[in-house]
Amino acid sequence: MLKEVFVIEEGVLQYHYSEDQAADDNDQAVLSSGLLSAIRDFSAHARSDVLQSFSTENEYFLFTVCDASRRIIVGVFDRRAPQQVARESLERIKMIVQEANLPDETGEMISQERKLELRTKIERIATQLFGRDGLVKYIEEILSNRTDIPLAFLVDSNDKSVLAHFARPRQLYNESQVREFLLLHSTIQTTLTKLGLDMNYLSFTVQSSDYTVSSCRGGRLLSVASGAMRTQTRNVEAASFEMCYDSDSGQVLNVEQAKMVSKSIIFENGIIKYEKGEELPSIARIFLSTLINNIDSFFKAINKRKFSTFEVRTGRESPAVLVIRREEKSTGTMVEIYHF
Amino acid sequence: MGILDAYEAVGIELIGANVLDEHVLPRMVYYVKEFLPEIFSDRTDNESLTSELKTFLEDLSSRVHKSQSSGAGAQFTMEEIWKLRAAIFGYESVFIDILGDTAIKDYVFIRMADILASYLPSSLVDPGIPLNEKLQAYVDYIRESGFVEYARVKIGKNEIVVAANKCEFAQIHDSEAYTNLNVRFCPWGMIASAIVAGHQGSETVLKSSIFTTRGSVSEIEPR
Repeated sequence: MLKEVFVIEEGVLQYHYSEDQAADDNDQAVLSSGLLSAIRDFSAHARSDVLQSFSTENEYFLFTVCDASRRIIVGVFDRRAPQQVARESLERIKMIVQEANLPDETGEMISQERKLELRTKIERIATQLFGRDGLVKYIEEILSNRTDIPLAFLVDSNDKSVLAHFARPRQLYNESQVREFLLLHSTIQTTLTKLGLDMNYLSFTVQSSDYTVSSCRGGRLLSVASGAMRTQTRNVEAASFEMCYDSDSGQVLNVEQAKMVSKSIIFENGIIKYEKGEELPSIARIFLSTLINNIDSFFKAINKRKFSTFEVRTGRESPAVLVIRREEKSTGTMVEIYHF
Repeated sequence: MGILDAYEAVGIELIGANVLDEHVLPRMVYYVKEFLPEIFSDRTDNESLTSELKTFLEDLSSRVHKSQSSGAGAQFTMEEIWKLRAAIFGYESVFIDILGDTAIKDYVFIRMADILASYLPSSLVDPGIPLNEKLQAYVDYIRESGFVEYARVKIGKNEIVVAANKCEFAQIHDSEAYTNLNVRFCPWGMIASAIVAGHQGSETVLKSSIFTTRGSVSEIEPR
């Protein structure tokens, strides 16, 4: 649904991406097109704080301005692309362009290598936010060569449909796992809100002594990867990130680097005992009890085990981690919140 | 079929993606020839037999999955079941030779039980049904299906014992190929350990299987 991207500075085309890779490379064709003239004219009037747009019969064009430079980024979308998703994709492409340090308008060419890098990043965004075709093949490709991830699936968070799944043996996967996951996903968001944290979590992991399951959010994609017995947590996390076309797995924040701001124990009868730091809101016990039940149901559906540790990472702007941990010799479950 | 799938999955996890072609199939050919000499003649070379066996397994798997999708039970001849039973020995011998006792007891059995739990019918994974009822239903099933004439389960404090007698497959216990294996896994015990694992949600090990000329006694240890 994302068809083309133009990066224009002072009327000069800096970079062009096209869904059709052959068109992508043929800058001469682009430069001579009347369409680009129109885009250049319109972009000259784009204001820095407003996203402008115009439409044709089959497409619509969104414009945005890079903050620190005079570059205009134009996204061309299929008419059917949801506008809100298109805006989100353009904002993310803007971030990539800003980080890419493109040459200024003095005439220096972007290297082929840099072009390819930009293309890969834009394609990832396009797939995360719009793509459906090719996902099954992509998941099969990245998982069939691995020996440590016997079960995984990918869900569209917009319509809750399963986009792809992988299981070795096949019988390991069943639809009840997806239902439990979607329930857990919803409960996590609600609980985070009640705890005053950002409900748009980035990823979570659930562990027992032998197994780890990791989930990642990338655009509209929700991935779940379950490791074979005693697979290292970071490998399972990396797989779930890769499934979402997310390259941030190397930046998963470690709880050891964070400051604990709240610690409580929740007992099976729902009573919360405050231990240190900030007290949890009184409504929290209802949602935390539900969350613990949902985590158990989800993990049992995947691995037939009770979980021992759950961690969810949230908040790109002000990162936080919620940890739920069962202690072996305790009747209660520890609830800890960390801030970075 | 679940046992074969589970063996393949564990083999890939521990040995690598090519475990079937590189290690298991050559051994499967040996055991199929040992247990079913009338099927393969001396004139047939090992390469052809390997290819034939691989095709047999793929075809079997396809039939099982189709029958699962349609809800109808897959029908197998005794010859096919025997071939499958012999094929399973291919995996067992690979695990014994390549992995050794420790990996078998500390990983293979536990992981097999966990994977096989996914194959159990809903009545055997329902958390509302007591474990003794599930295991009794299981031994009743293998008896009524004709695979064994007699089967019983005994639940102790720290272990569960499943015994099967006059088993259809017991005649292989006498063969040289079988007695050469120093760790042996009874499939009936393995499936029972999957039921226990699924019920208790904890590591479950098929601690031992003792074989007689007519059956086996398996001890299962939930951890």
